[in-house]
Amino acid sequence: MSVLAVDDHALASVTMTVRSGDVIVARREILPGRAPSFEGTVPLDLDALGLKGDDGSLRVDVTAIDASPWRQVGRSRTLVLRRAGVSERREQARATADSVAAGATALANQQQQLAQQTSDAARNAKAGGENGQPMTFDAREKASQMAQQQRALQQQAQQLQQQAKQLADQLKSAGALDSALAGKLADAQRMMQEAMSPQMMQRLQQLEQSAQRLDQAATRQSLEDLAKQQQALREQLERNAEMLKRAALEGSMETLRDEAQDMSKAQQRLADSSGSATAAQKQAQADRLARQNEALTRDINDLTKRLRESDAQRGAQRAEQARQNSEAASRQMQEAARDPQSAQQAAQKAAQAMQQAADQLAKARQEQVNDWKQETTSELDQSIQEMMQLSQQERQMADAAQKQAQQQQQQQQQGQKPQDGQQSPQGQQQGQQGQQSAQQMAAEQATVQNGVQQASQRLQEAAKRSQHVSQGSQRAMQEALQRAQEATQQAQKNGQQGEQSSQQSQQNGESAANAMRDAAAAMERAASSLVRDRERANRARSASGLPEMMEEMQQLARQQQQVNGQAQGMSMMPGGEQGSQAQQMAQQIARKQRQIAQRLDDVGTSDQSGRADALAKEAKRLADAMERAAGDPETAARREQFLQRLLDAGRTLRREDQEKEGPRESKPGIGTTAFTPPEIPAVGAPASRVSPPSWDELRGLRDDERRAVLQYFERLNKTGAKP
Amino acid sequence: MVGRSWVVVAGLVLATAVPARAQESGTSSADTLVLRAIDLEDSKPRDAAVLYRRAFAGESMIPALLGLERVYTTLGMLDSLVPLVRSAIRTEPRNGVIRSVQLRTLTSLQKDEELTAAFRDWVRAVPGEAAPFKEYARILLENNRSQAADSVLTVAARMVRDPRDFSAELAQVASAQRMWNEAARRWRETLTQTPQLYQAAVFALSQATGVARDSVRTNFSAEPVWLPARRVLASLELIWNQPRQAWLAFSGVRTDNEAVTAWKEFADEADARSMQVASREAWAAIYRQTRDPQMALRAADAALVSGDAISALQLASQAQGALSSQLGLRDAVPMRLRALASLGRADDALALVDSVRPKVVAIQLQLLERELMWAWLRVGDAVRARPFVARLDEDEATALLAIYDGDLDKARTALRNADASNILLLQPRALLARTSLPSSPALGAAFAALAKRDTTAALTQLTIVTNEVGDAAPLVLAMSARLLTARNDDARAVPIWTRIVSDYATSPEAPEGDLEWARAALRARDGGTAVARLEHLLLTYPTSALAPQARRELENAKRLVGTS
Repeated sequence: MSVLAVDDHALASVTMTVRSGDVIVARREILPGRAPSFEGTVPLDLDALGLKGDDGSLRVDVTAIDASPWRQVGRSRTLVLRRAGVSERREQARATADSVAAGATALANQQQQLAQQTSDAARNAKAGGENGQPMTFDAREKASQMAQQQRALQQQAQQLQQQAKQLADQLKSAGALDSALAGKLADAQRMMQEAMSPQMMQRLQQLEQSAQRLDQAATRQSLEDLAKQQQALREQLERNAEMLKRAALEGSMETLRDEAQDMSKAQQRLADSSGSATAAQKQAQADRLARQNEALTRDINDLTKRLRESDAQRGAQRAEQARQNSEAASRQMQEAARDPQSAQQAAQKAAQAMQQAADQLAKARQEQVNDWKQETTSELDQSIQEMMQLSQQERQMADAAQKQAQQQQQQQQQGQKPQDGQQSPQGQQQGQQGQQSAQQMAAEQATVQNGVQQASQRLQEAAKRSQHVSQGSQRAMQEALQRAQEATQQAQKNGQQGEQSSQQSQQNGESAANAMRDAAAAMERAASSLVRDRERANRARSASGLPEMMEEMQQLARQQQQVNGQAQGMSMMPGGEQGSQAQQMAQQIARKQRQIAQRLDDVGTSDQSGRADALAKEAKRLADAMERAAGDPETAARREQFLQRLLDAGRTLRREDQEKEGPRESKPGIGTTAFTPPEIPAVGAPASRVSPPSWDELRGLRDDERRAVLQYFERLNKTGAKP
Repeated sequence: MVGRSWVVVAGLVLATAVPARAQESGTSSADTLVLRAIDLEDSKPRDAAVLYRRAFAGESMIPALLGLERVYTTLGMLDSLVPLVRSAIRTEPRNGVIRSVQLRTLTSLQKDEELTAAFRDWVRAVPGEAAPFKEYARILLENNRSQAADSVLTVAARMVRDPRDFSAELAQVASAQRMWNEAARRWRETLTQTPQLYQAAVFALSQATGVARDSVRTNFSAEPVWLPARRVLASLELIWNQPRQAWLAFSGVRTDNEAVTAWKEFADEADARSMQVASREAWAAIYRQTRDPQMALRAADAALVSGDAISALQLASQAQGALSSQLGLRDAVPMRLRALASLGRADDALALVDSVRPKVVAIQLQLLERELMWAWLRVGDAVRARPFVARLDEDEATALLAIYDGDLDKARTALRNADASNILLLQPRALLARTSLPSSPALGAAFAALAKRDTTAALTQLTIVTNEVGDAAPLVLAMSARLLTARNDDARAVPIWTRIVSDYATSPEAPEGDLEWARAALRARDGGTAVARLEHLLLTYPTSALAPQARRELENAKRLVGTS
């Protein structure tokens, strides 16, 4: 409890009084001695003061008496202290969860708008720059304003991160924080943390600097860069909002199930309380339970609506069943409250109905979580099949392009193109046919590219909703898209044969075929990565994915052991470690090392500790070193060290998961001055070295003068300065 | 190799030469102090600082000053360096090293006013020289004060003897200010004078994004064709993940020894970045130019990794022809074998291994047998692959063999550690992920038959397993239908596609079912059915990756309906 008391006559005493009803349970003098003012925090041990249950309350006030001869008394307003019960804590957690989820959605929307505005501004700046106009004052102001708005959004993200942490704490205190929910909330916090990236800050700084310089070109570039960062941030925020929304729904299902279970137990107790309570007491209790039951039914109804709005049909169906049971229980309790004769029987029925409601809510959560998981696995399956189909088509087109190029070569060799450069009619016809077919192929290639783009967008959407879609797969899809775009460019170039020489068109045909093969390979890699995600999703027993992550670390450690063993065996190769065969093997081993790095990269996407990321980087460096000199003793030592780190990571991730407090951070000491009132009167040297003037000495002064003198003495005593 | 040995030898000579010289010439005590201080820097920085202070007072003022800068930074006592630097400047006011230490120290201590004063003092001490401006501009750039650096260099250009001295710094400033066109122009200009700044140019320009990259491309590919500029552009394209463009950056350069050296550096860079497309092209070009069989082997390796086994086989065969029999056996044979295995030419691979078997040692043979194992697995010959799989114990091989055996649980276990990039495993993995079936000899036989390219047997086996695999049934059906479509057997394929569309409408294969059904109808000149299927696809699965193709086919189908 923070207390501030001040008086222009100085203070003689400050007393805190704690009452339960009309009974004083504690009275404490908190001013150590006469002083011009008192400012401090007084800890109250609510357990010791007997404030425990849901219903109790304490009233606290503070009385200050001044040092004037009249001992004038000032009293604070009375504060009523109540301790939130389990039920209230659950309600608070639900409210916070909803607020955090809504905040995250709003933030993502705001970010989207700002990203759009920045893109528009970049385009306008580009148009202005191209027209050779200097940067206007308005444009500069707008650019600066955008940077400011982005900073404001960053701050909101920070606040939201704090709220997500608060939500985790509240769920924990309400006993509703299991590992799955904890994982989701931790992910959301991590994402918020990442949203405030140093790159974004750098881009903001660059934008402000270039706008300050009225530098049109640099501002345009800065705006473009910022728009890109914002796009990435928007995607992350959207993903975060979706995750928080689901966490909030899960949290609500969990806390309401607990509520329903507690309610059922209370109703059962009422049903069992045959002789221990009077009829009036029973009726009062039935009445209270009936009211609580009604409130619970309303909450379940709200949950059902929210589940429906979020398209969580499975959960909504179960929640609706739970609502019906809760309503039935509510009716029974009203009956019990109305008719004391049948109260026990009605309470018994209510308890049963309420237990069913609790079971339905538990199922609602379980089935909805499974549904969400299945949504992801279906999406993964579809993307895998599509990538395989598209890569197959790409290969067929590559073969066709190759065949076409070979035909052109043959035609050239057969001399169908005379030396004078004029084609024979037959040659012209074949040339036209070739051009047509190349153009058709270019159009077909464009549809394949569009298909990859569509699949990639869908996957990005899915990634917003689930962590089972790894960053690695998203990267692989982007890579496939890029390769498909290249193939389209080459195919289009190949389709413009009319303007090319025969040799050029043959070269273009081969280039197109190669580009298509590369695109097909990239699509297969994307499919492989997606298959791995699918396998992981299958194995996932938890929503947080942490046990799977540990398992993956252990597997990787085993793989690393194999790599180390193979590298050691290289010295036995003919020609030693420098022999060509050994070098080929070194390449193979380095490739395996890269695969380990790749898998660690994937693990890194769901590892909040950042350890997997660090390991992935080391694995990549190690692969580079092994390609250069696999048998080098220093590289061998690094390999061994890396293996140890992998083994350690596999063992210790669990500990980090269990500690949900997040990284420890220092906080400013504002408002935390704690004052513990002395239990025993202090004996010894006076606390004040210079005694403040007495009332008599001050009596001739005005209010403000008295206050100034007292403050002067107070400062003297605090700092030890000489008068 | 030779280069590396020389470096090692040179390092040893240097390491032993310094103390030896000290002993021979009766090294001054100040030098000895510095040497002792260097030894202590990491372990006992305080003791090192004491020794450096003593050396500073003697003849080794500058090494001692630099040592103190390092040690004081470690100890967080950099402010103690300020008076020492001042005294050193009094002794040698024109010494650039001492002046640089002063600027660095004042920057670290964030004493901006003193820093500016020190810079001006230095300029006065060495009128007309570029060094103070360069050093000060560099410090300003490191502190993200590019505008201030720009001002300093603008003033400097008027004050020094040769303004071209600043081209690198001006290029850095333009890069820091993200004026990419200007930066690219200045970097190209800088490289003409100081080509060793190649890495700095690549690093600075790699930060360009979006359309700014086009400005960089235009500047570096501009006429006249100049190899160092193209080399920079090629590196930049690699960094920007444009491997094909990266290689094309060399278009038009004269193919001489200098170009080959640049290509080699580029190929190594592409290898390090796992960009085999670029690496393959570069090594092949190097081989064409040099006819060096070792280069052919590098090209073969890159081709193989990028999936071009035919080129790899050709290159490895050419390399073997040009190498001595011993080197050919050691270097080219394994590459040929890998290429044969990738092409699924298992019998040729076996013949090759048999031909060299008596000439290789055990560990070499093991490597060759590994490739042979993959050749057998690739063609679905489980019997001949089995002994190698058992002996070599590789996760991917174990998984594939287990699949052929129909032991799906064993395959799943092995796949958990297997290399995900192995394309041979892609389809079996995709199927296993969708079924919990523990074993299925028929499915194993189907995959083995597919590997043997025995479509008839594969179809028979796939038909058997369709009802066993649960959720994966549409995938199994699609596999059958794809085989039949590839054999132009639309009469049997279409009923299967129809079944997928009607019975498994929400499966991932359903859009493909619609599309292939429509294509079959188009082949049969049945435009009506094609239009109906394609419209169904577009309405039911609008987000499918096959929708763009469906739209294109729909145009063809409507044209067909119109003409008929």
